[in-house]
Amino acid sequence: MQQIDHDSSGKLKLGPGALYGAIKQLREENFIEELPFEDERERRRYYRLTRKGLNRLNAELEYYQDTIRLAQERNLLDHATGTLKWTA
Amino acid sequence: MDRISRRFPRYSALLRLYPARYRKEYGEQMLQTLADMLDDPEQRKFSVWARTALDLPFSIIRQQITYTGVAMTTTPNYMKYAAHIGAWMLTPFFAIIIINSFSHQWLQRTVLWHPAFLLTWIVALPLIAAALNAAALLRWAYIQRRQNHVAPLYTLADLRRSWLALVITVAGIGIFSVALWHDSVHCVTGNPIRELHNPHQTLHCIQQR
Repeated sequence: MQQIDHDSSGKLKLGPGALYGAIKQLREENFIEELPFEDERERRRYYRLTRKGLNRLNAELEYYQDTIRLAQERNLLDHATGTLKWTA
Repeated sequence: MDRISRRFPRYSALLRLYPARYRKEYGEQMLQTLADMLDDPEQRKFSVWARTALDLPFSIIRQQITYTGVAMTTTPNYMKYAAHIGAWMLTPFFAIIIINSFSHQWLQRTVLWHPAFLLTWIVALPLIAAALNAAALLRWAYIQRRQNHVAPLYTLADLRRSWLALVITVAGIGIFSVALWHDSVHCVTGNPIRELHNPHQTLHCIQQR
């Protein structure tokens, strides 16, 4: 949860309900899997990307990379700040 | 009740509103995550509770809908067909009432006010919809009893699978019951639905006619 806060610069604030709803969906689509746990009393569960999840992540990153490249080719980005040059 | 549930008794109680399977899978993790968030010195407690309180109702509704959808996939097909047909049969009634509520006296000026049409959309269709869905529910209860030895009431109480058929049955019977009063109410108010509160006056009106 702290990681999500940090990565989104505090813009994305999830509660436990939304977080586990997302985890459930990712598990159902086989993008992540639960790591085996040794102690039954341990409440914390850990998840990792599956091969399908990794492929999907790569595809998403490629898509964003292509979008950024296109924006740079069209000279839409300010190279110094990495933000849009103009707004509507 | 274990240690962490005792720490958050209200939150723990609210988790019961989630579907049982979801709660079993993620309930304890949610409690642990909440505890971790509250124990994090960088997080303000009020902010954690506020986002948890805002998040909870939406999450519960979403999961209830999701699990109901999953359960509906195991609903017998004849019940789904009955519900589908029933819903279409009730549609004219609700559509006409809604349109009429926007445009007063619109109904009386259309052919829908003709007795034959009235009998169709306000009596026949709802009654058929209710009968169809009641029959599907009874068939399901009968089959469950015969094949799986499940008591009929228990089968009907399985709302995740039966809710749609039950809603249409109750709605159909409800509309038909209102329709029984239709002529008498119309006699006084000119509106079949809006006022049902004065049966003596309506009876008197009918006797006068």
